[in-house]
Amino acid sequence: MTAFEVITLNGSVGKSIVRRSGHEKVTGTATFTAEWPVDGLLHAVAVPSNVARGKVKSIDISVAESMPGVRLIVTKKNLPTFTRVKTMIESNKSTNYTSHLFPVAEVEAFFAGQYMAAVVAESFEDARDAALAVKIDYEIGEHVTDIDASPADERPDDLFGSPAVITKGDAEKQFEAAEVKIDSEYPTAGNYHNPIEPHATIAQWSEKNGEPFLTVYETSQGLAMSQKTYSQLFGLSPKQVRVVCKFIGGAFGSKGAMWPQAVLACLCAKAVGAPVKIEVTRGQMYGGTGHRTPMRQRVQIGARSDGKITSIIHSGVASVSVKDVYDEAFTMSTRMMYQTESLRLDQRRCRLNSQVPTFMRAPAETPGMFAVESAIDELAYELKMDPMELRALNEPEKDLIESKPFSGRLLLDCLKRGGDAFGWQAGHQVPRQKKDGNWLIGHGVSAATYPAFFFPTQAKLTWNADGRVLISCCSQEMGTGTATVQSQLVADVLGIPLHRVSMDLGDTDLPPGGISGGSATTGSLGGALLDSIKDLKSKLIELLPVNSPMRKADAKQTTIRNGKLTMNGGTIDIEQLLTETHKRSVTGSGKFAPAKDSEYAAHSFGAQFVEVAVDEKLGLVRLRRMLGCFACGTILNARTGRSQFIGGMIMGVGHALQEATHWDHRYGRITNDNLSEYHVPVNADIPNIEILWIDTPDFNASPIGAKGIGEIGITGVAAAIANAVFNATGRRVRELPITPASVMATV
Amino acid sequence: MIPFRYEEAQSLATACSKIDHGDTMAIAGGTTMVDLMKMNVLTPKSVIHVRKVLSSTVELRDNLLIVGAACTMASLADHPLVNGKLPVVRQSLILAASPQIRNMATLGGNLMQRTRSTYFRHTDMPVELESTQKTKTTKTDATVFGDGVETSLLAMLGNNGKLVGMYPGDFAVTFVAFGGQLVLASPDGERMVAARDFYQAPKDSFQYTTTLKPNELIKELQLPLTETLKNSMYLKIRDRSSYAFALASCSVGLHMNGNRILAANVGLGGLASIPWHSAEAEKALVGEIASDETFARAADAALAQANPPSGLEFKVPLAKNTIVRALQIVRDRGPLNDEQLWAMQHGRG
Amino acid sequence: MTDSDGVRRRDFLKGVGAAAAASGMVVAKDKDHATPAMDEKPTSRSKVMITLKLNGKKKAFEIDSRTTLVDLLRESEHMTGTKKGCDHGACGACTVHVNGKSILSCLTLAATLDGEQIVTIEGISDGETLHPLQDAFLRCDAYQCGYCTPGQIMSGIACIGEGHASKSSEEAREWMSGNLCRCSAYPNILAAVRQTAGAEPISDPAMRTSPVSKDSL
Repeated sequence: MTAFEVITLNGSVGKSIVRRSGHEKVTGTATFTAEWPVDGLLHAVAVPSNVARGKVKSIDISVAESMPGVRLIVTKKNLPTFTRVKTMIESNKSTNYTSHLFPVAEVEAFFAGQYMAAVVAESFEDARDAALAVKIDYEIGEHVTDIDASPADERPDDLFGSPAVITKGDAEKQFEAAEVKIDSEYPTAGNYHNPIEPHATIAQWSEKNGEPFLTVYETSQGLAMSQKTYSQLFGLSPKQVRVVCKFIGGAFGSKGAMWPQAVLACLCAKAVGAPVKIEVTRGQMYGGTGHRTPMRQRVQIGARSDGKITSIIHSGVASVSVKDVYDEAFTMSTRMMYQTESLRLDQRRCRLNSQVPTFMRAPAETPGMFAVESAIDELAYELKMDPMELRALNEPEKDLIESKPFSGRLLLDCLKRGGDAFGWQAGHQVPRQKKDGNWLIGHGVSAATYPAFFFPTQAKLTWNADGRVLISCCSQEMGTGTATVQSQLVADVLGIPLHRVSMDLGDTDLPPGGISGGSATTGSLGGALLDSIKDLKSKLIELLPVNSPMRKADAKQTTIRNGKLTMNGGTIDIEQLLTETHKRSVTGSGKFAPAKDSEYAAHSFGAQFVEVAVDEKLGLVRLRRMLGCFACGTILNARTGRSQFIGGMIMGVGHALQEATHWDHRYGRITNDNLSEYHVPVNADIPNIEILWIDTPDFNASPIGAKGIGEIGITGVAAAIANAVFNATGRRVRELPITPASVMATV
Repeated sequence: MIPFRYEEAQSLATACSKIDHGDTMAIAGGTTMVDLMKMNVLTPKSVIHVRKVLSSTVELRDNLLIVGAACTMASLADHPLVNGKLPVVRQSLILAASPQIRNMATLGGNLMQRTRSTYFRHTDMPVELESTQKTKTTKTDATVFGDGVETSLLAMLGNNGKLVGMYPGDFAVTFVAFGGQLVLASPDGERMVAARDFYQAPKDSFQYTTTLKPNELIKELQLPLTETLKNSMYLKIRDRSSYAFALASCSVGLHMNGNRILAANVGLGGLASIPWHSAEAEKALVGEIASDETFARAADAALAQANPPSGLEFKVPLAKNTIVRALQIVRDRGPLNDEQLWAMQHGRG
Repeated sequence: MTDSDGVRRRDFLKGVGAAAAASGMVVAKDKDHATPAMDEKPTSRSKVMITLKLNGKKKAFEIDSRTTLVDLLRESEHMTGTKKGCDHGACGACTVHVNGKSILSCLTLAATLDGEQIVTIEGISDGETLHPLQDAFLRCDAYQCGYCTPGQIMSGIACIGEGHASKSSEEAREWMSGNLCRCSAYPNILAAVRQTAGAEPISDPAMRTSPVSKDSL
């Protein structure tokens, strides 16, 4: 008996289907946010603070305002009024703005990159160049931007609903007494999402029915929440706000909340009396649109000499900004990865004069799994055990803290299946065994994991008399293939050809979807659609003649199958029914929300394998092969599913080997604020990647058996690579990113 | 970018007469200029497009490779006189930047590339030539300077003990190493300058200067076709497999007689304030047996004057290993073709 | 370039503050950073007349000298197929063809292109018929969010046309490395380019995935 009703999906679900958005994307006709044609559009560019802490003494706009094309320079003096809304965390998600600081509205700068003024002009280059000419004079204060220089003297308030310190038994005591001990530190650098599409907003004030109306095109993973935020900012009802985004050009969490450029565009549009577009410059994205905080983690594992783990202590510090908080819950996955007699999870927080951090692909799991999966590998080596065997020996039956059974696990199956396909040599992994010319070859393995999240979602399903079925939901498309996979789901459940089903999304005129984040969309929207199908069915039954047997029967006995209403002994063609009752269409509404308290610990798991080639003299780490085997429940589309796993794994390569934010801490400023010096993987970095999955549906976690796949791919990569580097060289690198300097330093 | 007057050059002579490399600048490919103009690092009031008044041809004359300054990096790399014949020339071109940038960038401009250091690119991050913070290393008595400074793109050779920008380009390393010459045009005529004399390591400025006069333009590049140029390679070390500036790089060429080195050319990139000709390494190679010990001695000689600011210490052994490896490859494998080059750079294949 | 004086600061942060007070923007006295124009009255907009052959059609433009090709395409012509990713030549999203060569439109002053032929993503298909590489991108799922895709395709066409896609797969990877994809679809982009070049058989890379259900383990 599963938590959700088991449904059989054996139509188009699981097949490799070309994306609905494919044609638009390959022809360049998909309209991204900055591309909406709006009459009379002006351009705005922000003037960010170039000091990490300072009080504004004066703003000299004299040169800027006389530059060609400039319409208005916006400063605190002429900034239109607005309400200082609560932050997303404080308001418990009734807004999605990230900060107490609002663009141009502050008299003090608390981090370099904070918007202090803006220029509105006729062209982008007019605005950009005038913005460079705005001169802000600061009384400079003290700042700290270095995580190692800021006292970690606070505790996070809330880590995904859990406290900052979690204990089970006496982990310190058991660690001290353990026969075998691992005690390592794992520092990680701050990362920037760097979607190729910069954040952008077009704001247009108009009137509708005699009242102000605000239309916003925004690069947002959460349009419905943005709508709520704008309405609160400007004292409007949500009906007076429409937010649209049909295609997001990459987000990875950076577009999940509202950033200052969105508010600024609305304020500039109001100030100048014309629609205004802001496309955040790439340089301003470093400090303007969120990042993953640097972290300092420590993992201690105590074990018996037979490999049974007796204690795990996972502790460390992550940063927040001086004015705002977002806590990265890096100890989260340690609650349920390994069986242990005692456990201590201990997170602290420190304040930095940087912008508030935010979620970045697999927040919590990405940094946390690097630390734990590296430590597990160190333990395996110490015990002279195969790391796969060590994991099998310490496989938990339940989540350690809440004692809930897993909705579906299959981690060991992923390790076995993946290992076989990879050619994993069982036994103690002895380093420096394989050479290829100047390259030392190494293999590494790591577990991967991501929770199964769900967000409240509403949807409508419309059956047209001409046979087309339309899904409507204000969900978002950022490369996940939402419209495609949900169409497949609906076609499969209804038993109709896929080409008849399509989806409208990306518009707050549609029923509110959740944030497209947390790998939650597929399951949440799927659940809402199953609910919509129930409602649709009821509405269709209502159209039947009064004396129809289906009318009287229990709705559960009537199904929609192959495009017909079906009950024992009878079917009714739906298009015919609509036509006969003079209806052009019938719409069913539905919703889904996660249960407040599930009886299961719902997570996805996977195994990550990597083969590296290391040149010790030149400090080079190169990838030869990557393989991931994942168990995430039902996979809706083999084509897009494989792409999501690959995409996550490649971002993991960047996280492991390349990505670091560089600072001049004396100024408190980021120095590599561009894509030439902040490195993300290029095509040549990536070897052949093999993807396997175990698609056993998980109806304990999900109404459609699918748990989400967008983020799990990144979570195991950094440890797998670090473990492979150890296997190649015999020396362990514990800091990310692994750089030529760090590889050479170990020699 | 400040608003600027734009014009097409009518002739090389008239262009030269107007250009002063300050208020009036010449543009050809523009890959460095447009980037820096967008940040107001370069603020010409006038820009003259000189691509059409400069030659882009590649030819052989008197055992010299003669290249017009407007020849693109891509064109030179693919030219039959270069491709398959002068490996270090092709490799130091195709290992640079990206295919698109190589299609746009001219050799004349590429030689003049500016440092990528943040202190140059951000006009509001002050340059501090002499860091007030110094620490002593425990290993030697050397003073390590530049604590707290973002030193990743600063020079450790040719820095006169100061914090100066590193020259980031690739082709220029080959050009100085192999004795390239420049023809400079001015309203008064032409003159020749050796590449090794053209670049001036900074004394009191943040980055290098050149001997280019205010109204001179690079018109032509000349490279002598030596035996070393034909038996050569460019080895570039970077953290990702492509599309990145060098952490360390090296242009080498050897003329061998049996296992004895008759002539050698060595240049270093990613390390110095200017494209670095290593006469020290060449001296340690010429006349010697091409053994690993000789190569190690040459590498030590090349880096003997290295003075890395804080954080760049790892580049000293990295640079030495790069030199040794490049010499070993030339000795043991000879010139690499493209397929072998990518296999090496990507670690696969 | 002439020699010039650098800046020496003893008391570091104080120096920053003092300089900031003087000009609001701290500027090194290095001639490389000279911004005398900043303190003068800026000149009025400088217009340039050019003619471009844009996807086969000749068109005249009056542009600001500062206008880059990417902004001319996206903002003036509303040809938004070409994307702006970084505006500084580091991502390749803005790749178009000028006279048959792939170039970065964000680093190109449109004024320098007078008389040249430009092909963008809008110009490579023939009505309803897609370019073979576009077909391959659909087949191979060589995109996710789609933002870098036009640039990838323009670079891919050049990569194939110049013979870099049909030799080793490492060479094809290398010549496609001027286009960043953060989502990331690199293996599928590679497959699309290699298949279109005839170096690999036409196939759906996803068919190589071997799903397993628990029962068969």
